[in-house]
Amino acid sequence: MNADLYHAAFRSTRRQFLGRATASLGGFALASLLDPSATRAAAGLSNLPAVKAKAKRLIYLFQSGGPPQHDTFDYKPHLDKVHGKETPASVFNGQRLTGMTAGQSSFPVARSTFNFQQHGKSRAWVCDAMPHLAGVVDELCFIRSMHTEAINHDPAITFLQTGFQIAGRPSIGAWMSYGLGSENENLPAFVAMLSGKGDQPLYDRLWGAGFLPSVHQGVRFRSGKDPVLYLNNPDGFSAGLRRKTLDHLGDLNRLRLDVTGDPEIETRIAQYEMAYRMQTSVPELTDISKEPASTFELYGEDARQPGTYAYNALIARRLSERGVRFVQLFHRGWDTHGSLPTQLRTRCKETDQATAGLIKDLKQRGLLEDTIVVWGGEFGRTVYCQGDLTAKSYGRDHHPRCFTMWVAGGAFKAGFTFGATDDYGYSIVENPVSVHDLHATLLHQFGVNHERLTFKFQGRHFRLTDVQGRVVAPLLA
Amino acid sequence: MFCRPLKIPRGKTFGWIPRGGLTVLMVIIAGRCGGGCGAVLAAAESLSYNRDIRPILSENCWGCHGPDQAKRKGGWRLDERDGATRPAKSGNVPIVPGNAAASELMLRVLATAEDEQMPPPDSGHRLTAAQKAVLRRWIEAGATYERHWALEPIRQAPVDTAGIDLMVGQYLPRAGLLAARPAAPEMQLRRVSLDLTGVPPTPAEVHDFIKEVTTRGLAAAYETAVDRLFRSSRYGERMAWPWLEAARYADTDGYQNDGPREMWRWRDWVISAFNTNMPFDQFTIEQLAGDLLPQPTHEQLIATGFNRNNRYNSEEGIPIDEFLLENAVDRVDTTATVWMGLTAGCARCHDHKYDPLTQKEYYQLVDYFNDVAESGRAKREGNSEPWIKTPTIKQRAQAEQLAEKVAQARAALASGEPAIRAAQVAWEAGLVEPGPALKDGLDFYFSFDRPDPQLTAKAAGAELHPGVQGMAATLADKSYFELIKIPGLIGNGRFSVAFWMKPAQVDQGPVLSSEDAGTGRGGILVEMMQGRLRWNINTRWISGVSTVETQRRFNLGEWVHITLTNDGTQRAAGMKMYVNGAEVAVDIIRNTNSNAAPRPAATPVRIGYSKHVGYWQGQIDELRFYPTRTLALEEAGLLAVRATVAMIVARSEAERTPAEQRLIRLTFLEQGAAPEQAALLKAVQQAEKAWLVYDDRLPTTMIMRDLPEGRPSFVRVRGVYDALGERVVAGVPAAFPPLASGEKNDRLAFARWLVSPAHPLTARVTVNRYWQLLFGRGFVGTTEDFGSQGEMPSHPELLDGLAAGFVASGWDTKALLRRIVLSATYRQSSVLTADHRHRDPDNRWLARAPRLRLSGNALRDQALFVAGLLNETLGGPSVFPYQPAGLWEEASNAKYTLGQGADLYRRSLYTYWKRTLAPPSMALLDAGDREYCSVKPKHTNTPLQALTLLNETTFVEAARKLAERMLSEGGTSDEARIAFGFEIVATRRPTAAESRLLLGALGDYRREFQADPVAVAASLKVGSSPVKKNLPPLEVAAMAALANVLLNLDEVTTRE
Repeated sequence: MNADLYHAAFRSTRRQFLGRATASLGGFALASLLDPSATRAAAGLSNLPAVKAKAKRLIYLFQSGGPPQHDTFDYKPHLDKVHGKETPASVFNGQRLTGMTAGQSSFPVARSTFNFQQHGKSRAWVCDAMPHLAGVVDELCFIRSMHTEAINHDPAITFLQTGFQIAGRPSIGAWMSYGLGSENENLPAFVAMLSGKGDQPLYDRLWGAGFLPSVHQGVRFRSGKDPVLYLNNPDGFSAGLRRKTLDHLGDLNRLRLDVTGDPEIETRIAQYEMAYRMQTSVPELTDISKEPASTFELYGEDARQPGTYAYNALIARRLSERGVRFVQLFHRGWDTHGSLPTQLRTRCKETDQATAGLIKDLKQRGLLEDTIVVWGGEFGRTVYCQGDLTAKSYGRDHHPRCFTMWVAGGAFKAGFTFGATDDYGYSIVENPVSVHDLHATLLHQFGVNHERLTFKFQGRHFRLTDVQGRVVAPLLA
Repeated sequence: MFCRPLKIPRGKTFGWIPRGGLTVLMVIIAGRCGGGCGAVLAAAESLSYNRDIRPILSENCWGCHGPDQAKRKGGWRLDERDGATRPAKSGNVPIVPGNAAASELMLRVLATAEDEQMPPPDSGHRLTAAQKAVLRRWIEAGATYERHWALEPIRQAPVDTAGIDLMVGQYLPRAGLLAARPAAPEMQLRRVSLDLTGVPPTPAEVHDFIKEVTTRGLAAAYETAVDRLFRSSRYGERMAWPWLEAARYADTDGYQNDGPREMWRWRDWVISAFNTNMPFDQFTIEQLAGDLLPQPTHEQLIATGFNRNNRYNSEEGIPIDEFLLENAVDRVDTTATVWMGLTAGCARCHDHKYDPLTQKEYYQLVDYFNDVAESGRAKREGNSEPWIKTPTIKQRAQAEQLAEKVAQARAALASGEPAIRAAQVAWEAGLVEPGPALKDGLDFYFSFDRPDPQLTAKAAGAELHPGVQGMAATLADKSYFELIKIPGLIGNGRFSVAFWMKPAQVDQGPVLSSEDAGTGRGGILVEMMQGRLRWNINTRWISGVSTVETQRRFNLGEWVHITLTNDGTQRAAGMKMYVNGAEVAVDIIRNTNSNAAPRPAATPVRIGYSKHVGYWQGQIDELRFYPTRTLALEEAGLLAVRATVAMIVARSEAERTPAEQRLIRLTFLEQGAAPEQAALLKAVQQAEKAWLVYDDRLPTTMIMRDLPEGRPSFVRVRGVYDALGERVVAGVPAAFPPLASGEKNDRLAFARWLVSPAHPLTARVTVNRYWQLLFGRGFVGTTEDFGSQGEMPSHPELLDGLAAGFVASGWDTKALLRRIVLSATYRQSSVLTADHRHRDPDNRWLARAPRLRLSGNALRDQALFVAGLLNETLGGPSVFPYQPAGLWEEASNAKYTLGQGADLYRRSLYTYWKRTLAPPSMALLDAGDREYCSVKPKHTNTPLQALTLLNETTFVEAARKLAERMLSEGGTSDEARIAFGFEIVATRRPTAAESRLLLGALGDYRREFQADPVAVAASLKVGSSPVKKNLPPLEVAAMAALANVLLNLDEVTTRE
């Protein structure tokens, strides 16, 4: 057949050939990183959103390790009265303990050594280690009644991120990328950033794509020379030279396209061009030299230092401004088994100002109304002390039965607290919210019915919310 | 069902498929085929349940009206004819065969009222008008059900190469397609080389091939080339990759801290099994149940590592039972996916919703894999039980050599006997007061005979009183002795402790402790426990502890000698207890010790006290610490000699026990012998040490080995580990052929069952995966799911014919692949015509060969290969090639230490695979995850992949080395050099247009670099291989930029 003829023929229908990845999605979801000019970017699943979207972007501030609810937001004055006494059996209620404390002979109650005060119009309780956050409580929607199924870090953080305890499912950001696509032609839809040190490591599955096409996996932004892996040209390879090589590469690939007629080549050419644009757009994004002094007053001086939580928070705002759908920060070191007071104070120092700064910054830029900010870890911590209980120090073990998270923006209720725990901060007594519920509610704000966002794999229509989850309407404005 | 003979439209050509074959073809396909014959044949006339009806019912109805009894609504069961034609709870009959109007199913499907409509509007399912019409026609025609195609036995006759082409050819007219022309000979060679060995042909190979094509013809030349490729050991390496992904093979455990493990001997076993073309049934049996074969060989045990490759949690707080279950579940799910394409995991929490597998049957499968002698908690660093030492042949020879040296040293010592004896007699006569014997490794010794600054009495009651030999540490009331800090008392090192003990308390109490003050209590604790002696090695109380306890009891007031030895393997089984010189039987109380690699700082040793346990009363004498040695039985015997050397020497030889004799001899050699005699002992000790050090470092492999008593299996309600339901015993699901009768119903029987000729799935699933490997997709596109929710096969009779042939050949994998790669279907051109794009964009009907982007590992291997960098060492420990600095450190506590020299250039399957932070370039290029079983590669196309291929160090360095080859081997003109390089990477000469373009490009790059000498120097420094001498730097830099383009060409990164 005449090469020109079929060339013309396929150009008219090239949309349907946009890569095998898209073909496997039944032509619905488009990878955010596919050439946007060809796809009119990244519309996501065409049958989504199902209801009107209230949010466009999400910044998830993951505090890895399990922040202690008693010492942060879930104030329990009763503990002062029972400090040092055995936790009553009625409180345990037969729940399993981790292998770390199951062998303890004594379970003395540990009160918090942090001072609590009420703040804002909403009169929300916040510990004294988070003075900046205390200033923005009227923007926050606290959920004191979060609970999870897992009791150890790996299964628990995997559950929070993927809706399932065992590896293999897509992360929440990957689901969003798959379902909603990207708003930006030159940046990925899902970005993950890491900071902090601690016993608990992080795993790339936490921002992985699972069984979804790998284009949906979170792109890890790093500090240093290559914010995105392999972004920079090799040493001695100038931008001008790269441009030339890409032009030649494109020309040669087009010659091959003429011979083979494979539309995948067009896609590949587009991907190389997109890569080139990323080489410009990402450094522009991470160049904070033009940020005014007021930015660093907001986020703190740490924000000048790549690799810190504060820097990542600032980059998160810059990414959100540019339409990146899902930005997730992971800050390590909240696993407070022993020496809780010093450890928690240090974590707060690293994060407090930047977290509050991010909220204020989004608000002043008018972004908070359609950007959701989520703060929280993978589980809570026990009311009883792990290890030695002294006047100044104590530790707390993992506790899945209740923990506190907060959400802000994205049409969540501001200055609101939902759910309650018992006097010991051990069990939920009011309005429990499961991890699946949280996921369902977040998706709902994006206009997505969590039961409809599915991907068929191994004969089953998988969902982020597995077979559960309900939208927690009282949280919504 | 019966497939109709094909009506071949007259006048249509079949491309290059010989016309004469069509008659044969019709005979073949006229027979009963395994199931639906593919949607392409779906025409107006007859309906097929499997092809047309099952997918509708399965997708839309069975979730609530299918095999899952617990979830079944309204008593409707639509997956079986009996159920569907019986009145439901409401009294209505879902399906009245022959009468759609009377069938409740049709009424509900057609209903418009929301509360009547099926599927319910909120279910997310909706039937199209066409689907409704098909259902109606099917009911009218009698509502015939069929068994799911994949569960039917394979009835097809074996298919040969010609049969492949005929069977593929029969579908093409229906799809409105013609078979493509054969690909150019070079392209055929490139394709088959990449597919079978993972690297492209060299220009020399292409040259020879073309020469042979002209002399012997394409067919013969191609066949010769294929056979050459099968003989290459690269074949095994290439075939191993997908198997490693299926087997979730990795170098770390995959949870939390993701500690290292050592399974490369299993990986090498796989490579070797492919290279020796081990029959697939044997390959199956040895991997699943090699340990249960009679007298299994070393290699057969290594093979069982397949089901130890699963992730395994070392996290401290885990409930053991939870992860014992997770391990067994992973083994079942992986085994079911790999051999049966069965999504068994769906039945973990409830009966399978689509396929005939009940929850109970699922746990019957679990029972085959539930007996492994594992603790339920992984070692944080290193292999977890059960494992064996697995030296390579070379290592075994080396170990034997070292053992031989030990024997020689011992012989030398023995040969010195008359002289030694004579000297000893003289020494004994003049003996005054010898020091302690058995000094080798005795770093700390407490005789308690005199004041010792290293020994502190704590509280009143801790005194020195007469003991076994001189004075002894004596404890009364709440008192204890504290010794200095003693290092090395930790699970992952060899050490021994020995002492005399006279308990004044046997019910409980810490005899000896060396523990961190914190709650982790890292260290050791020796304690009395209800008359028995218990020894713990802690990493972290209580989650990381190995504890053994003597079965015998001890008496109050009786002196006994105790020796405790640890072999450094962190296993309870590596802890031995000797009483009075004899090893005693112990019970394993805990076995979850798991150290961080470095030994913690030494902690003080306390006699009679532990901060965590309290006090003990009694006496301790002659306390010895060997912080680096595992004492042997004989040595424990010497230490248990109660008499002092002086006392023994005072007696005549006849009055000495053999142990006393040996003790005196040892004391003499250590303390009294002349240098040349002492040297004989030293030589023995050194030889033993050398052997031991070597032996300790030998690679180990985790294997399958069952507990003799097994472990009971239960249905777990909703899949939750501690919600025990009915107890079950191993068994295969009822929908499958039964196990062979008369065999013991164990894992071995299960493995044999999988590869029994009657098994409907194993051969189909395996052949499908190989077809996928060669064509980018299998006949069944859902490689991991051959069930009701999976795809119907595109070419069922071909799948079955190949499967039948595979079994009939004795599961000969090379023969299967050979049959396929020799086919015209495989060898046709991959050029896409407009027809292809419009009528079959996914290439389901194979009217052309697929163009497939090479997998990440193949891209890297190819780049190294064409650059002349590839280090083709076969097998060995995993290596650490380039990866951006800090990638591990920022996310974890692990440190990435870049490999050196030739290790940077090994094939990608040898790259160290850290599960939670996978090799980044591989992860970006769609490699399987390795956290779980993956059998279906992803093919995506992203800008991050472009960045990787453009900028990653391996690819950049490979471009430079390729450039150096072009400059030094490619002739003298630019044009010749470019053609040379182009041919290396693309297996063809460039066209005139390409050549022109590349020449212009080279000129551009040269000008760029001419203007920037600093850039030239910088660009030559990328990668650790030096630039070849005598090449002008500017030329290398410019040509390297050109080679960077060449390595990124779509044609080069694609298998066309």
